[in-house]
Amino acid sequence: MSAAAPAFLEVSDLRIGFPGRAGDVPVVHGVDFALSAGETLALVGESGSGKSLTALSLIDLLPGGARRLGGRIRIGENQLDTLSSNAIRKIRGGEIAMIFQDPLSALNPAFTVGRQLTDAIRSHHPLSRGAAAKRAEELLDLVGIPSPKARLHSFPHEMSGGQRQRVAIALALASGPKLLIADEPTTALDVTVQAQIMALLARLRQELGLAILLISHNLDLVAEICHRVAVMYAGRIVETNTVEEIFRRPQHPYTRMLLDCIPRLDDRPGPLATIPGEPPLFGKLPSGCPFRPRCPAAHERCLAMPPAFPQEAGQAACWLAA
Amino acid sequence: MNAPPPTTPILSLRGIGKSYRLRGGLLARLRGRTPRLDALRDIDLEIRRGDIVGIVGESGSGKSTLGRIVVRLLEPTEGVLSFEGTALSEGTSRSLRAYRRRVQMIFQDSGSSLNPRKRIRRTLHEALRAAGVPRGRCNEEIAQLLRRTGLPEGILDRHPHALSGGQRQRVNIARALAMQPELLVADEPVSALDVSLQGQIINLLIGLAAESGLTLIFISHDLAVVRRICNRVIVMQSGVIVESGTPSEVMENPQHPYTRKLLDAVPKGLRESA
Ligand SMILES: Nc1ncnc2c1ncn2[C@@H]1O[C@H](COP(=O)(O)OP(=O)(O)OP(=O)(O)O)[C@@H](O)[C@H]1O
Ligand SMILES: Nc1ncnc2c1ncn2[C@@H]1O[C@H](COP(=O)(O)OP(=O)(O)O)[C@@H](O)[C@H]1O
Ligand code: SF4
Ligand SMILES: [Mg+2]
Ligand SMILES: [Mg+2]
Repeated sequence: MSAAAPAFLEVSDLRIGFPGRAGDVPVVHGVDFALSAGETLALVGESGSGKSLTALSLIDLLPGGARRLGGRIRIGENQLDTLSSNAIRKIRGGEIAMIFQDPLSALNPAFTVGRQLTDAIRSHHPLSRGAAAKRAEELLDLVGIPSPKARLHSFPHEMSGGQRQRVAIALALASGPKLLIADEPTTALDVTVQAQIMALLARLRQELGLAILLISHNLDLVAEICHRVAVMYAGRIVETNTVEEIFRRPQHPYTRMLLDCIPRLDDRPGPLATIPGEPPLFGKLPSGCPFRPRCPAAHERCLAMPPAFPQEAGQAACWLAA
Repeated sequence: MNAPPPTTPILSLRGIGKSYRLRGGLLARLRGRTPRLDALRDIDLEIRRGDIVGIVGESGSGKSTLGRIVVRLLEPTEGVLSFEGTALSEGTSRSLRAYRRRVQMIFQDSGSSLNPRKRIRRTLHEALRAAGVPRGRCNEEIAQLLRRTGLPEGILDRHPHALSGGQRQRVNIARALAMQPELLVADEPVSALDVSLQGQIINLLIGLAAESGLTLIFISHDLAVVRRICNRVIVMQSGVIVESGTPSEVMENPQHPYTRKLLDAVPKGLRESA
């Protein structure tokens, strides 16, 4: 993306933690990224690396106990850290919307799809019930639900998993957001539906000029629709670059291994590549480079923490790339 | 040259069908007509000992229904299932009990298939006892199961929620192995895991198959994984088998448009154009 327009979202030195016996235990250790209108940024990393907490902090929806320990978040003109929770909630409902892995978590099983959509639309726009229903129908059409008018009367349980995720996306779009956060939106869906949802996100970005933050653990998947990728490990971004460069010249050993372990259709038969071990447990980081226990290239220098290069393309938080 | 002696398949399915009764509306019930859904129709399948068979298809195509019929968690509404050439009929409970031990299943949701209130040691202990291992030998066998599945001893005194998703799936595999099965049905065993950990579990499964001659039915959405580890693939759509063959036949030269659609949906990433 061109550097001309200022980014719509700017996050710097974001730190998040949970209260522990001896003070706060940080789990997100200073994350930086920026995202412009019409751009898709992928946040990629294993389970527990802090992707969801990072995303949830943007909409002030951190789970019980979790707390922002520091850092700055700017959304459009608004500097979140200077706003009251109330003001943040307004921005959250209006300018930012989020969809989750499990679409049912966003939908109310007791109400029809149409009712939920019109309620959401009317809470943001002063429209009559009839006009809101019309808008709801348009939104269902936009996300590719066949016979949208009839579908307004369906309940969530009467739809397939893929259709529910489309409805959740329609619901997220009801407020007319500028930023859509999609946290593993297809993990619970099969490959064909996954491909459809990815194509839908790409189309919405283009047609509505949305900024999209896509969270996933699969680099092949995000490559379908993303411009830039930030790779996260143990609460830090270890490498950021354009998706082409991430694939062509991964700098961090973790990025390289994440790419290698995705099975590809044209692979020879045989065992799969893996990343040995597991990511570090909550609050239990090894000393030095957090990736050290799993890194095939670890050496003495790695006993000290490698420097971070927030948002500098072509750099990585690794002694070998420094 | 003499042809090898014809070997009986370990498992054979003939004309297997399954229809589920749907609840339907009041009117349908008053008229005594319950709508039914054909989840499987006319499935013929032979599996040889040592095979690793991949079953792929969209959500709702009937993969899990087929897997559950193989392990007898479900009764088919049509057809015959034979194990080593002998048809299993519902009546003979003794042979059915033996069959249920020799054929095990692991599921996608590693958490909900383990009892949350039991420590792992107890779960494994109970499985071994059910398999007829004498009490005095259980500790030794548990240590062996941990070794075979790559689990640290420290997990034995934990409850399932205190394990990672990958560790829970290893425990499920260990529990299945406790029964010394001959056939293992793995229903999307890694769909809930990160790509980085999927390979560990899959390699564990194919390693076990090679080491102990285990026959494996591997249900998956991921055609690339099936390509790498299976020696046969079955493609299912709406309850029927639309294509089958070796992975290279099916994936390099798909005959059915539905197979092509599945292949097209696999994310390709950005590859070096060398
Ligand atoms: N208990 C049940 N009662 C009624 N219908 C059922 C039941 N279980 C499954 N079905 C239906 O049978 C069909 C096949 O389901 P099955 O679970 O075997 O699919 P699958 O291929 O395993 O899908 P997935 O990839 O989503 O796991 C589907 O249409 C499903 O809705
Ligand atoms: N509600 C919570 N209570 C305690 N710890 C949590 C909670 N949510 C997340 N964590 C911890 O914070 C870390 C980051 O979690 P998360 O952001 O959910 O990771 P990701 O989305 O990358 O899988 C993990 O170590 C996780 O265990
Ligand atoms: S700093 Fe060392 S341990 Fe860390 S990723 Fe680089 S080489 Fe590996
Ligand atoms: Mg998450
Ligand atoms: Mg299934």
